[in-house]
Amino acid sequence: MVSIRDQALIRLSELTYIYNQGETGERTGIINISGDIYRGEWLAMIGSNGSGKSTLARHLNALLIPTSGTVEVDGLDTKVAENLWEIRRLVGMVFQNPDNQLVAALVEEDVAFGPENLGLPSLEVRLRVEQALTLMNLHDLRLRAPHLLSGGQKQRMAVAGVLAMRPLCMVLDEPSAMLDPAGRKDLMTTIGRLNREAGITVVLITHFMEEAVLANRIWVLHEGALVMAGTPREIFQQGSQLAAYNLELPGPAELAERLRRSGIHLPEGILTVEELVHSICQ
Amino acid sequence: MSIIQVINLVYVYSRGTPFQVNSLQNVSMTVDEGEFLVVAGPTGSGKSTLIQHLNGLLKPTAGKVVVLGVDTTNKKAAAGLWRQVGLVFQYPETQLFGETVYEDIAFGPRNTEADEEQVDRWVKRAMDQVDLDYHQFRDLSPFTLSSGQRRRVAMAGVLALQPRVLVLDEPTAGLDPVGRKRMLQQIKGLQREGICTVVLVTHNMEDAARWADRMLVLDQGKVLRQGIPRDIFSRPEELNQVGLEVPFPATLTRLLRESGYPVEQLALTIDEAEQTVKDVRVVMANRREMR
Repeated sequence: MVSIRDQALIRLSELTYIYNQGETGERTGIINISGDIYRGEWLAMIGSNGSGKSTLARHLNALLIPTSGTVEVDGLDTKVAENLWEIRRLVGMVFQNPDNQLVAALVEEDVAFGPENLGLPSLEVRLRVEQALTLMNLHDLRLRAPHLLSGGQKQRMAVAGVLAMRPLCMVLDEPSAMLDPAGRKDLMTTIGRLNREAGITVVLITHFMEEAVLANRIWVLHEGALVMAGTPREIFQQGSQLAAYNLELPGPAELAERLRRSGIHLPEGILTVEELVHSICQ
Repeated sequence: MSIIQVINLVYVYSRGTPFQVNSLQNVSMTVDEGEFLVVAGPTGSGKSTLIQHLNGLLKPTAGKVVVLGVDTTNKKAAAGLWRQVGLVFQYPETQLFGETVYEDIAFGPRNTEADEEQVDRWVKRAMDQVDLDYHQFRDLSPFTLSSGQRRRVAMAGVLALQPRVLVLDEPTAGLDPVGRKRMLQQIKGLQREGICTVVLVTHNMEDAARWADRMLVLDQGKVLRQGIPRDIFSRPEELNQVGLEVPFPATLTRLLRESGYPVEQLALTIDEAEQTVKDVRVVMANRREMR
């Protein structure tokens, strides 16, 4: 049997990052974070604005290099310059604003941009684009102009572009912040499929607690430190702790907590409205 | 009393080109003085196009928009509307340019007839309205602030002109839960204190349910529904069809009803949902006793 230790895809050891070190405007981005991101898991990162989530995310594919401590991706140290290209291929990033990530005039060309730059034979590029479009449910849109897609479609295209690089891990930094509810739901469904069917490790940064609920594990960041780690049920049982970090519970969990406080007996760990109704009706 | 009237508004982008898109089709709506109106709708439903008509930034292809008694196609009269109807775009903090918070907020007022003393008063008041301490922030560079603070600077820049109507496009996008709540409380405060009428564009139905007096739901450039939140959310199927959701308390109400519990009023907020559950438990206890 493989131990958990062997399953780490990304390993952070005493990672600290200081912006503008030694200059004016010096400030700590993240401080002394150690932890493993496991192969094949879906990890959500939550935390208030300025808590260090994006700074941490940018370390996962060597966009930022630690001020001290180390980040290892599949055994490769991000500090070593020769590892850079392999790390960037292994860990793909999708950002918040879909409009800033368009690179081509057609959807399929946009998705092909990454693999083409790897210098792959065109048949291989075609195959990968095909697969990525299918998995992201974009096949019908492949000859459309990216700038005319909806926000949700653009984000799915950005995910497909990363997917065509055959990464082991995908880091998504608030990918649904600009989407409408349908676009968000759609994106979350495809991220779930990416994780389960393609076995890709997912790191999702989000302000939406109901998205964090979908993950296998949650990391909570506060003032640059990793302050909580656990399953959604574990994390969302600690409402007062989360409130201290400027976060809140998902609505149904908050309501369950209030009802418990007023003396109504409900089981621990309620996260969805269906679970709540089920336990009320018992 | 309505402060803005939109009558049979049609707007076509890129008319006469192969890219012609009918963005708004026969939209009629009003904004009433002093209200908090939420405009909701999926991406591409025409929300942003509509709100850009409210201060004459876009002119109707057909139909009419009357703002404070002024037809926006009347060039001369509509020229002053930018001061009366303040527009806060999505991610407004990306539009900051002043070297200091003060300079940035003062930009609008300085483009009016106001003298420096007046400008100073307006800046002070606007900073106060968005909860930014004048002395602490006035000389800071906007770029040293947090995203939530930068967004409030951008809002103050619009408020400094004392608009009668404040129109905000997704002002909470990208803010953390506490920042979001604080922002909405502030906006609600502006409306409640009679400082301005508020038109808020949002995808967030929990926010709409909690803060709106009235809602307008757009879909594919047409008005799908117009009314008070409780009526709008009483028909979830319709909203789901166009890709919107109902707030979870409304779903809770529906699920309880489906399980056979008599819930009269649709819950919209977490407070109402709490009361609903308590009421249901009383009914259940009574039923058990009767058996």
